[in-house]
Amino acid sequence: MKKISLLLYLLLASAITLQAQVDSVASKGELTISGYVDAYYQYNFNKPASGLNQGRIFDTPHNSFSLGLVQTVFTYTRDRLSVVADLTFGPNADLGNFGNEGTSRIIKQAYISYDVSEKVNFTIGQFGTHIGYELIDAPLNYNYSLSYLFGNGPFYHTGAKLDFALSEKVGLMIGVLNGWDGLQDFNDKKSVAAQISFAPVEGLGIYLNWIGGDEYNTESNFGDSEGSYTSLFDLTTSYQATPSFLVGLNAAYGSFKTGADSPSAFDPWSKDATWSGAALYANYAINDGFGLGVRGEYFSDPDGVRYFGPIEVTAVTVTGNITLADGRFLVKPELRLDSTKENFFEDSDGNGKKSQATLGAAFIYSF
Amino acid sequence: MKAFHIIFLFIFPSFFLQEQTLPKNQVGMVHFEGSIEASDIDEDEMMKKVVSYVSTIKKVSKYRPEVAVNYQNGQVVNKGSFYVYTQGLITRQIHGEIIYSIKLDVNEGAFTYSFSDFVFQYYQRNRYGKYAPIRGKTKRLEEERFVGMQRIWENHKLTTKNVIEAHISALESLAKSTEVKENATTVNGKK
Repeated sequence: MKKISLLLYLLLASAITLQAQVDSVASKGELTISGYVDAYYQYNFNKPASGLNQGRIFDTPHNSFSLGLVQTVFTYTRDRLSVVADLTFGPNADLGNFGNEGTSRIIKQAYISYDVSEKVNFTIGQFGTHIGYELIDAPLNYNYSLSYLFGNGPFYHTGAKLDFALSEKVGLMIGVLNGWDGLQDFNDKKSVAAQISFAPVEGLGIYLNWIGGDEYNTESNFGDSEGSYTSLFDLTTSYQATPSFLVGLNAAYGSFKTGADSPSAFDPWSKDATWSGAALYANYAINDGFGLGVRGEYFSDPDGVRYFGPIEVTAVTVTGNITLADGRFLVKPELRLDSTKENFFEDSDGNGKKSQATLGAAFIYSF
Repeated sequence: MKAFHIIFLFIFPSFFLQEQTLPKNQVGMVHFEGSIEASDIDEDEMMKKVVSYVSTIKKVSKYRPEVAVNYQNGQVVNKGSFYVYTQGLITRQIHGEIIYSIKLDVNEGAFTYSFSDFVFQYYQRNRYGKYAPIRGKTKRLEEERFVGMQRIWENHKLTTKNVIEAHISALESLAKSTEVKENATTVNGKK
């Protein structure tokens, strides 16, 4: 770990030296304020006794008008420097920043980014994860309800990273982080993050992502065995085949190696485990005002080391995308069908069920 | 009734806009072209001034090709681009980038200019809160309809017209001026 940190510091030092050779481009600073508000309604045909949709991260209430999130993003850019404060409020903000307390809970992202040279950027602070296809920000996702891959991956990291534009078509990122979804470091171990990105042809973006580290802690989702190791590989791609048609693929494979001396039937983190999944996306814009998107997903966490306990699930989501008010107002009607091997969902009597169907609509206003 | 008008304005602002007309060539593509007389300046000096000017035309992306000059044919080719914005609740926000081609032919006593291949590159806020291009999602400026964003689309066309007309005015001034800028800058603003 120390070697990796040292490497990162050396990379930064060399990049700063490079900076001296580059002329500064003076420009006026610019502040941009943007954000969104979203609300939704969803009906679960199982009529779950608990009133909650199962297997969902954010959109859990059944038959209830619900508020998603209120976001305000402040972005200030001047010359080589960018400062981003991405503040969120509401139910989804609480879920996205779980574990944080007080005013820290409203910070989705807060970081400083500096262009060391034209091809090297340094970032420090709390920033969104590089892992995964979908995001917390509802206007940036095609489907409103989020995938299992999103829900079982990290949301954000706190740390430092370097981005290298190796060429017009290849990028590299390497970072040292406190860990997963934590403002503070839960232990004295750092995680390492990496990303290689390719843009071989116009419209195609391929991102190979990884995060790995010893994340043992009594408060984390990875058990409390010192000496454990969690690794997550992620492939995120999208191809804008035509201006109207986009296909995307997200696949992930995670592994957890326990540091426990012996396995326990009551502690899922006392034995080695893996989880994986893949999601395929296809979106078609009939025109700039209306489009249709389909997501098909498979996810498996046989040992239940992630959020939902042991699960093997497939899900199909069909979402309409209606754009109004100069592109600021999005209406997303959505139908989603989930099915599992074992009884995972809930019926009106509180009994287990192998499938769940929901129908609803989300309303998102961006400002 | 007043409430109805407010809702109508909120949802359908594109009903109250003026369509922007941009000059087009015979095949219907947006095209600004013309000839500027420069009889007081010799061809080499004019070439120098044209290269100098075209090199300063701004581009958003760091990696677009730099200015290409063919001294034998007296031809200068480059790509230009600029951001276009939407007005957010408090500040403006990048909606996209207009990318276009520039071609100048310098001859004895005159030069011709041509601005063509206008494309709108869609932008979106990325996962880190910054505006970035949606790779592969573009729209040609010839397209008349932008469903749901017609007013903004007309504004982008107006902005384009203003930017290109400013270039043409600058080129006209260049032909009148006898002073040559020695400190030419490259496309990325470096000397």
